[in-house]
Amino acid sequence: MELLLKINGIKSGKWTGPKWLWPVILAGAVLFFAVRVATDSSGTYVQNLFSGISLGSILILVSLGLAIVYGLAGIINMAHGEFLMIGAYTTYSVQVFFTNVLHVQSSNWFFITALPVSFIVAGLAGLLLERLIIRHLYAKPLESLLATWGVSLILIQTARSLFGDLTAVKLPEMLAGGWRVNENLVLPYNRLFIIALTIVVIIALYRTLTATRLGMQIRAVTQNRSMSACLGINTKRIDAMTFFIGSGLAGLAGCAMTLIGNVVPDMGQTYIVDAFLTVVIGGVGKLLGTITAGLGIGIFSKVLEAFFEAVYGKVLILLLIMLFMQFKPRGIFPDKGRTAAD
Amino acid sequence: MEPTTLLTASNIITAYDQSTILWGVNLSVLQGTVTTVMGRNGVGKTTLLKTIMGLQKAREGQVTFKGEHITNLAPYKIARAGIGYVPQGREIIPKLTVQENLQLGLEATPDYKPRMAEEEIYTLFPILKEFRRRAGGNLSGGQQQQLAIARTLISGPALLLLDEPTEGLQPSIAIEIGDILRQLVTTKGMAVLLVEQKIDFAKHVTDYFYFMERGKMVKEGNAATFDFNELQEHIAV
Ligand SMILES: Nc1ncnc2c1ncn2[C@@H]1O[C@H](COP(=O)(O)OP(=O)(O)OP(=O)(O)O)[C@@H](O)[C@H]1O
Ligand SMILES: [Mg+2]
Repeated sequence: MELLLKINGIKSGKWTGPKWLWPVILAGAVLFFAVRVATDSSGTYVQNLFSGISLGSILILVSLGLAIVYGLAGIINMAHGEFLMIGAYTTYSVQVFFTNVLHVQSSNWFFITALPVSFIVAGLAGLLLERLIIRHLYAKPLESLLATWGVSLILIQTARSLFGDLTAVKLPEMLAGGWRVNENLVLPYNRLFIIALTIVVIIALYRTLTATRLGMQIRAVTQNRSMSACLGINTKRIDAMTFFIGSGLAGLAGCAMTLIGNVVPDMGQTYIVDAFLTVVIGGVGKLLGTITAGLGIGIFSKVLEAFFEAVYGKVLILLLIMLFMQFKPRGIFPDKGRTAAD
Repeated sequence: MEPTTLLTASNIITAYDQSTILWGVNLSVLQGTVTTVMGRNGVGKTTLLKTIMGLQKAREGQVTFKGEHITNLAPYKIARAGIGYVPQGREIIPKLTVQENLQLGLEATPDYKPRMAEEEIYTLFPILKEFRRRAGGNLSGGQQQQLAIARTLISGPALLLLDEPTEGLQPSIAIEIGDILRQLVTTKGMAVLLVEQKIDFAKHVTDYFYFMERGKMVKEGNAATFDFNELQEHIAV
């Protein structure tokens, strides 16, 4: 037993094994993918990988919002997935408005408009949830979990009675078709767009958090709420702003989702579990960790689902994640030095 | 000229849930002076500062600052009114750099502009300049103490609340901090409300003393006339 623990590098729940192991595993995985891609004549493998990246992108958008809200308020917002749904229905509503009221023929304009509108609508919904309910439940993890779960059910039911069971959003003309890499491989524009959108959002969020006054306020309140207040920061305002941004990002993800799937009332539920996993694996409050984890889960999901049946793929991912958490309970990029203690 | 009263606390009663800690505290701080509260562990000194800062609600009593009621206002409003707080645990934001921690001090100003230039701060605390790009959480206790003081100074507070600033510091650094405090009080007319247990340090900087016991002030007086022998007996008990 002792020997087994030593081989596994596990000692009292801490990773004591060689430092090079994880990089080697990572490099191995990359190499494995690279070889498969190079020897892949039909192109399906690259196609899967590519779908995985775009799935991971949406996961990143949803998880980033969840991560900053969880980091700041310390509550798990079960209704976060429903902001994705709200963003998708907002996109649908904008489309209906453009075609039926404004009679715009081109399907490009509604989508361009829907991007900021879905962010704002979902953001405002998040703000409302924070002001009306969550505000009273800070420091009560269980109550806030249950309350937000209740809200999520209400939102799903409301969407169902408003819009019915299934709605679809037209694919904007500019995103139809794809980029022909070679005769076997076509990378669809809609998926390329999702990836590009995610990159833009990541950069914008990173800039906001590191280089603006609001970003510094958010980081300060996340790390020490009462001291931030004593320095003159209106923490309630920061809570509201953070909820707005976090929920808005989910709404943006919902808008992007309409490019690759149908709009259904419980679409948020599909993503929320993966988003929680992403946040946990990435390490709470770590942007880079969230991004890596989101991408990883997205790619692994698609690739494993291609190899095995979808259900087994899912189980395999959960097993991998459990194994990972054994070795790295503090996420992909744990803090080092004194700051790690808190 | 008679110095004006900057802060008064009258008949403050504060409790954590069911246990009352402050039983009617009275205290005032004059402009341009250092007022020190002494007392044994657990008598409620920190609780008093937290009540003034709005972190802990007063059940009864009033706090006035510059003639205005500030009782139980939100802490950020009290900070913006001109009270800087250096808490007992320093409470540096750990993952922000030293420079960012300093910049946070600006949150207490209405226009986000420093009242004391960064260079002036760095002349007072040279070590902060050297370490300005380090994470605040990686500084030593003494360095964090300096940063916590500097962070409040940048907004030019009229009153500084200091909770046991010398706790865990080597004597030479404690003296250095004491000298800086005196300097700020004489040159800038700032007032300091100090909570301290080290009599030597307190004597070095204080103008007016209060002695606290079980949630009440039991003795007060000018530094020149205060009977420290009696006080020492109290503390020794
Ligand atoms: N958050 C809290 N909840 C409940 N009781 C508390 C809390 N904080 C402090 N107390 C209690 O209030 C009393 C006064 O605490 P306080 O921190 O004000 O003492 P102090 O005079 O600052 O002591 P020290 O010299 O050790 O810093 C103590 O008995 C303490 O146990
Ligand atoms: Mg104390």
